[in-house]
Amino acid sequence: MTSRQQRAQAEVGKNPSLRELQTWMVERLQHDRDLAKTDDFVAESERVLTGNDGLLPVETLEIYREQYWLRHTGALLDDFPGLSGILGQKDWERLVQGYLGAHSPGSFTLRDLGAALPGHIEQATYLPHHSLCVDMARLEWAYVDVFDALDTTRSLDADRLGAMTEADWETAQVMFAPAATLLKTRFSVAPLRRQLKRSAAIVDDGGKAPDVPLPKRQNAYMLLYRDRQRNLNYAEQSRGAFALLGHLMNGDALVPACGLAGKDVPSEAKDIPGKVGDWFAHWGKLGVIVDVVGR
Amino acid sequence: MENTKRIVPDLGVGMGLRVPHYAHILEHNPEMAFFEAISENFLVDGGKPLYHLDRISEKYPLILHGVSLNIGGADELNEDYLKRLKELVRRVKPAWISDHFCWCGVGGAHLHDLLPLPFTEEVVSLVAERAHRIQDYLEVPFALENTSSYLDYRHNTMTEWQFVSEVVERAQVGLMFDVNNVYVSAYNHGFDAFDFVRSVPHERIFQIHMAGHTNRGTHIIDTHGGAPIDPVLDLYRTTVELSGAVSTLLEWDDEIPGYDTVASEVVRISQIRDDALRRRAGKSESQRMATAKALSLIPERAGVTLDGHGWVQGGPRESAGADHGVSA
Ligand SMILES: [Fe+2]
Repeated sequence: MTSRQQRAQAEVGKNPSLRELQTWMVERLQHDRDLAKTDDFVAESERVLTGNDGLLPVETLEIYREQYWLRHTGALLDDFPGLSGILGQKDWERLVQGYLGAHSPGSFTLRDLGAALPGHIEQATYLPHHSLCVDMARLEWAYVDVFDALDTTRSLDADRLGAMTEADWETAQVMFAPAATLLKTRFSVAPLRRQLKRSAAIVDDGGKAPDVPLPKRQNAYMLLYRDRQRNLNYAEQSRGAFALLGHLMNGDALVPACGLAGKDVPSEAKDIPGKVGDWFAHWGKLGVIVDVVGR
Repeated sequence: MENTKRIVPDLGVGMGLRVPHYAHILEHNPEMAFFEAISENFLVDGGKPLYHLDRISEKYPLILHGVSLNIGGADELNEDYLKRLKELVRRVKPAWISDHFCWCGVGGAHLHDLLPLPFTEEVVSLVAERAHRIQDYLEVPFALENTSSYLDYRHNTMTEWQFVSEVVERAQVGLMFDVNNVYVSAYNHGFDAFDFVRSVPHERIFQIHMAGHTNRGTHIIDTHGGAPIDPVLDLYRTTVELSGAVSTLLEWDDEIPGYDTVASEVVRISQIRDDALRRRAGKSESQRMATAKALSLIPERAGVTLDGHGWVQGGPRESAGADHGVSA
């Protein structure tokens, strides 16, 4: 950091107000280098803090700065094991430093820390395997949302479903579990994430996890959901099934949704009506469809 | 809510509720006086965290302990946070709830740390007014915890124990007395831990925290790793002798061992508490004060170092990344 940038930052006097003090401290704690190595920080800490027998004032502040970075890096690592697995230590650290520098944590919960990471990665074109990283970050953030989405008390009634007439399906709305979402990616990142997590759990004596081959480009259409034990899971869908799910989740009734899905995927259009029964059974079994309500 | 002295029950000696122990607790229903959960980990819409919390609160007394309130921040209190917290309080029905004497951020930033407050009249007024208001809003007895700290402000105008005592008296809230934090701060700032223990309003102590820490020689980091060390247990004995039967909780957040290891430390603390309560019963108030003075403790500086890594109060969150379902 240049001295001009430092001067633009908050200054603090001997008797600061609470806001002045806290503004000054937040800026210092979010600084990305050891504070004790910059003369200005040493001098201003001297004005505000006492230090103790073993530590200079700036060194007592540095304890908190170090913890700030370790805590937030750790929280992102928890939520993005696939992304960190693709990048490896050095690129991961660079990414996280840039991210936290651009997106100061503001939520009361660390759970929200990665909310802007997928967007940030889109811009971080310097990253190796950039497109793959974009997809992985989108998947992992979607998982964060699915993980603690609202539970549902509804359950699908097979008898009522069986009694539905063709006319009912023209208007009935399919209700989905809140912990279910769709994600289309350019790489098959869900199986890759699973492999990377498994690999990270097998670290050899040298601290190295076994290499996981990265996938080639191939579109993936995924339904992300929580299973009945509340574990995260994914189910790959055909393009037709994925398109139909998208329209149903938008609130379209089954019959019009089939028509719209056919338009989205003309190559599968004629097969969709014949497959809908199996698809419904599959989604119901996963706990993704929780009700069908007449309108 | 009116003047809150010790209006909360004595629950005995309990354990901080931590993710690695969920399976053991739910499968074996071990005997435990009470658990304390970190509120923020359950301020979510649904899924595993709330499922586990509900199952455990069906079987055990459960207390909520927060880390994100930011009561001493210069920004206004976060209303959305308080609203969610109130919903959680209604769900769990804890006998009391607590957070910390600290600030967490300003200008919209939240650093997820328990940053030390300046001990000044300005801050006493701010924190006391807010604490009183929060207790009324949450409709549950509310306590604030003394934190451990690594830095000290030149413009402090009072000691930490004067600050803490003044706030809880003025706000009419409880004191969550963390004995390990007293030891850590005494070591880091060179004061006598027993002065702190002797000087707080004992009848306002709702709960005591016990924990381990990491001594780096020049300073102690409050990692909540390991069992409480003997000098902290000595401080605890004196605290109980002065305060009586106060619910006590062991926090263990770093390199969390198996349930049984933590539970055996809970038993040890429980025995110390019983012993201190027996001694209290056999002593007059003046004798107790004399003992506290005689036991006056100056922490030894011993060098043990640990690899640097960020610790988070409450240990790991139950998160999407750590989801134990093998599928994702
Ligand atoms: Fe504590």
